[in-house]
Amino acid sequence: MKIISIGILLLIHLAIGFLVAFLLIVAAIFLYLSYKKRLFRKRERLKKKIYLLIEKALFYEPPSLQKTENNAWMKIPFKFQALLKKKLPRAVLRTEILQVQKNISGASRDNLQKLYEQLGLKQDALKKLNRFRQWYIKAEGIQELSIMNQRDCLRSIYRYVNDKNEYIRMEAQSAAINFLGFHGLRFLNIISYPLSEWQQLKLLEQLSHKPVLGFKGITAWLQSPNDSVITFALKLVRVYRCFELHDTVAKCMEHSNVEVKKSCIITLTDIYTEDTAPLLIWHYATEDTDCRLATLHALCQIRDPETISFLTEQLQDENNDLKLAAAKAIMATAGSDGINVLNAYTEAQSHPWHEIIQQLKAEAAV
Amino acid sequence: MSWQSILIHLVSYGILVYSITIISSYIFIGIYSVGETMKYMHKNRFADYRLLAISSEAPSFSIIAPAYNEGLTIVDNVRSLLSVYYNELELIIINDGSKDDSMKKLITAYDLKKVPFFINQQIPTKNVLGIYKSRNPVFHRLVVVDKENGGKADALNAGLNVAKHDLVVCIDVDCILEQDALMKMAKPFLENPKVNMIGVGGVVRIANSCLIEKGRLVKVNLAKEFLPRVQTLEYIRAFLLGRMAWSRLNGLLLISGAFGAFNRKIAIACGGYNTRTVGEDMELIVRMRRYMEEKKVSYRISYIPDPLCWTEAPSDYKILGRQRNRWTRGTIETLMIHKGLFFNRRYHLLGLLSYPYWFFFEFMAPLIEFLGFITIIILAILGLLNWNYFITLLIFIISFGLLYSAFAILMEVITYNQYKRKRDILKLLLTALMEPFIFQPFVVWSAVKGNIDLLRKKHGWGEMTRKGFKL
Repeated sequence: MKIISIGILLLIHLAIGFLVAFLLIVAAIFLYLSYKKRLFRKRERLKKKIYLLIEKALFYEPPSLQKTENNAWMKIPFKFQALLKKKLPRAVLRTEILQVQKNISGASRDNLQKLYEQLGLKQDALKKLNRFRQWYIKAEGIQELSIMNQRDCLRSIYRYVNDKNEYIRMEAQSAAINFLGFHGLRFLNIISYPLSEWQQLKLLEQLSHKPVLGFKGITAWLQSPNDSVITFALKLVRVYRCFELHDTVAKCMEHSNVEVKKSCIITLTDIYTEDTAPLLIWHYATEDTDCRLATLHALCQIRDPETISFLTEQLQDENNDLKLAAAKAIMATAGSDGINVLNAYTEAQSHPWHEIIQQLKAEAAV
Repeated sequence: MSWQSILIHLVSYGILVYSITIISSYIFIGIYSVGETMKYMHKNRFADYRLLAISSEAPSFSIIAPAYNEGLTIVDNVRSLLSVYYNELELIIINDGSKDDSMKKLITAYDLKKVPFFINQQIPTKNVLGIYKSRNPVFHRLVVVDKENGGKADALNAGLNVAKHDLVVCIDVDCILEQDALMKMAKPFLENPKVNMIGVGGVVRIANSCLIEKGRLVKVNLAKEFLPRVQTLEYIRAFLLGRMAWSRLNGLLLISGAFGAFNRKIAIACGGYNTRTVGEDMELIVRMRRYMEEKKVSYRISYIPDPLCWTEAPSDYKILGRQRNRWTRGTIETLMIHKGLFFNRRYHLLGLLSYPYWFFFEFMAPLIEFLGFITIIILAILGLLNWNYFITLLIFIISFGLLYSAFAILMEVITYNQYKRKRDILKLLLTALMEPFIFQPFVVWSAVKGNIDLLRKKHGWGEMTRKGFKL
C-alpha cells in the first residue's frame, strides 16, 4: 500500500507539472501570436517610412562641390538617423535594401550600395561573419555582402569556400562567382568537400549571368581528386560547349565512379566528334546498366550510321530498357529507314520487340 | 499477499511503466524534432527554388496517381495535378479497373487516344488494357494507364513500370498539391552527395473546410466539423513532431501513401509495392530500408515539414473507423512480414530502434490501452479497483496528452502558422481537451477491430467514400 501511495503522489506531481507546462505553452502560443501580429504591423509601418529613404537614395545625384556632414555620400535626415540606431528598423532597412537590390541595375544599384555602406550595414554583415558561431548567421552575412556587391570583403569571404559547414561554404562559393565571375571558380582547385547537385545547379545559374571568359582550370578540374568537381566540370563543358576538351573529357570514361562516367557520356554527347561513337562502343561491354543506357541515349543523339550493327546487337540484350533504348537509337540513326531496320530484325514479330516497334512507329508518326 | 493482489499490482505497475516509457519517448520525440524543423527553416532561407524551374540539369519527376471509381471528381483532380509547377514532369493516372465512368470522362475531357506503348514489366501487375495520351499538346505531360482492378499497390506498381523518370511521386489522386511542392521535394534528393536519398516525405494537411478554386488551395481554414478538426491536430502532431524527429534520426518507417517521393530504381529493385498488404506505403519503406541495409549502402529517408499536400479527412465515424482499421492491419502486416528485423543488430537503427518502437508503441499501444480499460472495468465490478490510483493515472496520461498537443500547436504557430486566427488556435486547443474522451477511445476501438479483422483474415480496404472538394 505504501508503494502505491508513493506512486500516486509521484503521478500527481507529474500531472500537475504537465498541466502547468500545458498552461504555460497555451500562454506562450497566444503571447507569440500577439507579438507576431504587433511585429508585422510595426514592420509594415517601418517599411513605408524606410522606403522613402530608399527611394531618395535610388534617384540621388550628389552635388559635385557640396560636401555633406562627415564626408557622407548622402545626407540622412535626422529622423532616420535616430530611427536607424534601433535594432528593428535597421533589420527592416537591411531586408528592404537587399530585396530592392536584387531587382535593379545601373546607377540606382550603385546608389543603394552606397547607402548600405554609409549606414554601416556592411559592418553589421561583417560582424555576422566574424563574431557569430551559428552557421546560419555566418551564411546570412556572406549572402548579404554578396548581394550588395562588397568586393573588398572577398578575402574575408573566400576563406570559407571550403568550410566544414555546407551552407557557409555554399554561400562563400556563390559569393566568389558573384564577385569574380568565371575566375571565381578557382575555388574548385582547393575544395575537399563535395559539391552537392543543388550547389552545382546554383553555380551554373549564377554563371549564366556572367560574361564567358574561358575556363583556365578546367583540364585540372576534370582530373580532380574530388569527384563532384569532375562532374561539375563536365557540366561546364556541356553547358558552354567546350568542343576543344573532347579528348580530356573522354579520359573520364576510365574513372571508377559510375556517376562521373555517366556524366562523361552525357557530356560527350553534347561535344561529340567522329571519334565519340567508337569510343562509347569500346567502353560499352565493361559498363554497368546505367552507363549502358546513357551510352545508347548518346548514340541516339550522335546518329552515326556506323553504329547501326552495334545497336542491332543490343536488341538482344536481356534488359528491356536497353532493348528499347537501342531501338530508339536505331530509329534516330537510320532515319526514315529505321522501321525497316527494326522490322528486319529476326525477332521483330515476337514479344517484346513487337510492342517496342509498334510504340516507336506510333511516335514516329506523331 | 493473495494472488489477486499480486495480479492487481502487476497490471497497475505494468500500465504505469508502459505509460512512463511511452511518455518519455514522446518527450524525446517532441524535443528532438525541434532541432530538425528549425534547421530546415534556417536552410530554407538560403534556398532559391526557382533554380529547379529554369535549370536543364534539374531532376525529372513522374507523378503516379491511382484512381478507383473517382468519376465524380477525376477530371478536376487531374487538372489540379497538371497545374503543379515543375519543368520536367509527367503525370501518370492509373485507372485501376474503375466500375464507374472515370475512364470515359478522362478520354472526353483530355482528348485521349490509345497509343501503342511498350511496358517494361519489371514488377508484375494485373493486365494493362491500354495506355492513353492526349492529342492536345497542352496535356502532353499526361499519361493514363487503364488496367484491370488489382488494388492500390498493384496500380502503383503499374505506374512504376510505366514511369520514365528516376524520381517518382506517389500520391492520392484527390490530393491538392501546393504549386511549389515538387521543387521542395526535389531538393533533398540533390543536397547530400555522400548518401543515397531513397525517399522523401512531405507533410499532408487536412483540407476540409478550406477554400479550393480550380484545383488550387486558395484559403486555409480550420475544419468546422469535430472529426476533421481533431485529425488536423493529430496530423500536426504526427508530421511536425513525430516524423521530423524520426527523420533527424534517419529512422523513418513510414512515408504517407498520400504523398511521397521515391527513387524509382530502388523501389523497383526491391520489388515495388506489396499487393498482399493494406499497408503498402509503410511496407515499401521498410523493404527499401532493408534492401539498402543488406546491400550495405549508405542511404537516407527524409521528411520536409512544409505543408505541401492537402487531403480530405474522413468526417464520419464509419469511414474513419474503416481507415483506422486498415492502418492497424497495414502496420501489423508490415511488422509480420519483416519480423526478422526485430532487435536485429545487422539492421542497425532500423532493427534496434525503429522496428521495436513501432512494435511496442504503434502496434501494442491501442491493445494495451484496450486491455487496461477492460481490466479496470473487471476490477471495478469485483470491487478491487484502487480508485485513487486509477483516477490519478488517468489524469497523468490525459495531462501529458494535452501538453503534447499544445506543444505541437506551438510548433505549428512558430513555423508555418497555417491557422492565423486566435479563434482557430483556441478551437484546436479545445479539440485537444476533447480528444481523449471522444476521438481516442474510438481510434483505439477501431485498432482493436483491425486486430480482430486481421485474425479473421479480412484483407480488404473497406469502402472509402469521400465527399470531394468543391473544385
